[in-house]
Amino acid sequence: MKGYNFINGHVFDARRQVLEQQNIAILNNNVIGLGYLPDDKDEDFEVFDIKDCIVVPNIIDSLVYQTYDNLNDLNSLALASGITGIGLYPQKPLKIELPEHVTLILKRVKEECDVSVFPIGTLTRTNTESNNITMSEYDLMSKEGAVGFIDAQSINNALHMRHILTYSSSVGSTVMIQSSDHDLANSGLINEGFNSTFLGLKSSPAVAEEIRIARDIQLVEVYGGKLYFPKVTTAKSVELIRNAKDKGLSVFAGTGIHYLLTDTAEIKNYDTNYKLNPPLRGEEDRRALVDGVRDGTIDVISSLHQPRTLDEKRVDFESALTGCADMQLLLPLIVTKLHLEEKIPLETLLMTISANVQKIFNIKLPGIALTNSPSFTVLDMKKEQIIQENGLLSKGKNTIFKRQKLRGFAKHTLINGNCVFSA
Amino acid sequence: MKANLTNILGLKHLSKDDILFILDQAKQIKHIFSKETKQSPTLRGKTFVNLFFEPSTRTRVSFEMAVKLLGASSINISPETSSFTKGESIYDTVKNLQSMGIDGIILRHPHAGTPDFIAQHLDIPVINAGDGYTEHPTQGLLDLFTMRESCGDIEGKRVMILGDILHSRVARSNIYALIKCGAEVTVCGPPTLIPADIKELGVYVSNHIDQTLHLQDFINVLRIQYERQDMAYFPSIREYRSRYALTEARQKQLKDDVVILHPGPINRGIEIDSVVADGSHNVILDQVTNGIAVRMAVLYLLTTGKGK
Repeated sequence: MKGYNFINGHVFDARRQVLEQQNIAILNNNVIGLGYLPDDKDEDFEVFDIKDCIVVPNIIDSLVYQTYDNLNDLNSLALASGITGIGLYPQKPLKIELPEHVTLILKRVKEECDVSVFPIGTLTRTNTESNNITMSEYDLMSKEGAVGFIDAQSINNALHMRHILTYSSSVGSTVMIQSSDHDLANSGLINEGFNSTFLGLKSSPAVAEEIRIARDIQLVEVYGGKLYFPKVTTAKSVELIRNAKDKGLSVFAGTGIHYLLTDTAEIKNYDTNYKLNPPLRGEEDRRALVDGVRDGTIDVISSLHQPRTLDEKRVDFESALTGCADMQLLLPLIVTKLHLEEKIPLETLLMTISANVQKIFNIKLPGIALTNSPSFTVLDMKKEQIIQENGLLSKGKNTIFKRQKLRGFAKHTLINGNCVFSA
Repeated sequence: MKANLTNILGLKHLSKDDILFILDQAKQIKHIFSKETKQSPTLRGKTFVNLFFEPSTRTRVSFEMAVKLLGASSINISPETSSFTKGESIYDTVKNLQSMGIDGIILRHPHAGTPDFIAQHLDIPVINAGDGYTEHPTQGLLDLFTMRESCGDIEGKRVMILGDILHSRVARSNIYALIKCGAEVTVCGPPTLIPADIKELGVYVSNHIDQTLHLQDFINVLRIQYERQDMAYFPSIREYRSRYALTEARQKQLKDDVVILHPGPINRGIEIDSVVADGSHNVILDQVTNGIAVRMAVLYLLTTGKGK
């Protein structure tokens, strides 16, 4: 019989958005005591004094691109990173286009993973009978376990977008859009501005994102739907979404951790680790995103984990594939950079990686309550670590945050009441 | 005066002193090859590779001439006839070339930053012969050299760069060199062909050629680059000519001692009329001659370590 007693930690209650000191006793994967250890238990409890730690239930990295990491790799990485759930958007070997794909993925997840995996399907697919582009089967896929739907590009045709929103709202599923007007973006590699002129790189203006966000918000206002923009990057986009929320529209926003912490001026010497899609924007955009997190306009922060091989990045900037493999550093970056340095309240930040994700994806995970078998992470708020290249766990080493002194790494990760990772 | 030259990737990286150091060397070299013997075999035994991913007449031949006049050997590699067709990466290609004992690589590539990329992985000098829209540093140097032949010191002189600035690596290299040396630079062209925030480089921006043409001491006319334009930046050639070309009619606006440059190849009758291109103000063929001297200087300084 396996028992744990986590003492002296501060536990995050997402419902009240508070951190409170509370002990947690777990026996056979179930919570049997909160704040106390029942007197009648004879079993040996492994005691973890987590004095300088916080306990966060159900941390979800909401948009993870599966490239060449297999499920096993992602599972190990997530556990070590303190992530207990991932929104999975597979790129290889196949995307989730059909309910059968959802079933297949979740079957493999059951065999290979401890973490919860929430499949994200494609928003559209090619109908093999008619050869037309059509909506994916949102209802059938949701019933199999898909939590949201996204395409690599935004929907060019406004009429198609109208149909997608109208239909999906009847199903209750979440439409996710990577907002970019294909023509305005013009295959740009970095943000349009002085740095693009200086580096001579093809560029994409901020308005390419904003114009689509504005259009799609207006469509939600007219036709309904639940719309989530997971990769918001510009100040104007934040403003548009803020206004939409003020009107009570079902519009949600997320961003990648790198858009909150760095900007296009940091792209020097054509370092391909900085090649992202959407591109890094200007400092004023970064500041607006940070303010958006602070005031709740930005609901979610993800790693947008996208590992790339050495050969995919060790080329010229134009030829390099986009993406950063940042899952391992997501939580320490949030704690160190956004909380300790930018002074965003920790409770606000913890919502962006837990309860808000559940709300957007229409999922309900058990919290830390008596008789539950919760998943939670113990984050060490005191110990500083520097992750060097050889300490990166992902197969892809493409991160821009190496060699930074950070706090907030996972000390323990529990899945369904079982401690599966300890640092 | 010393420079600190290990590669020539872009004039944005060089100081005014570096630039003038190279040009002084070029001046001495030009004097030598204007004689009958021409050769100055200081780099005998060295081998350079021209790795050109884009078509070129002037630049490639100019580099080959420069290499040969220095007594060295030149090898040309073009992607169509090399292992690039088998999928070999440029990283592997240049590492292999270095292992063969090549003394330097001259690279032209359509993607910005490729010379910088290979330079990070090599111990031999890399000379950028043009990367995407970014820079064409030896062209920038030879343009400045040619201007200084007319006026001595470029400081305070007014230079207009005219045409498709957006797609021009020549324009950018010109801007860096001229601004660092104290010239007053105006870029002039349709607003759709002016790069974002280019004023931050210290230039003036004009969309109306007739407002400032008469003030210019030098005009560098750029080719309208059909092959780079995948969409319409201006309505038609005739409208472009009407608004921006150095036409016969515009000649009367020019200063008496104006100097006209063009990096070539010229689209006669489009950005410049023949009567202007072949007239007494132009130094277009001098640019070509000077290109060899400048490239010889660059090769010499990088290879012998005299540029450090």
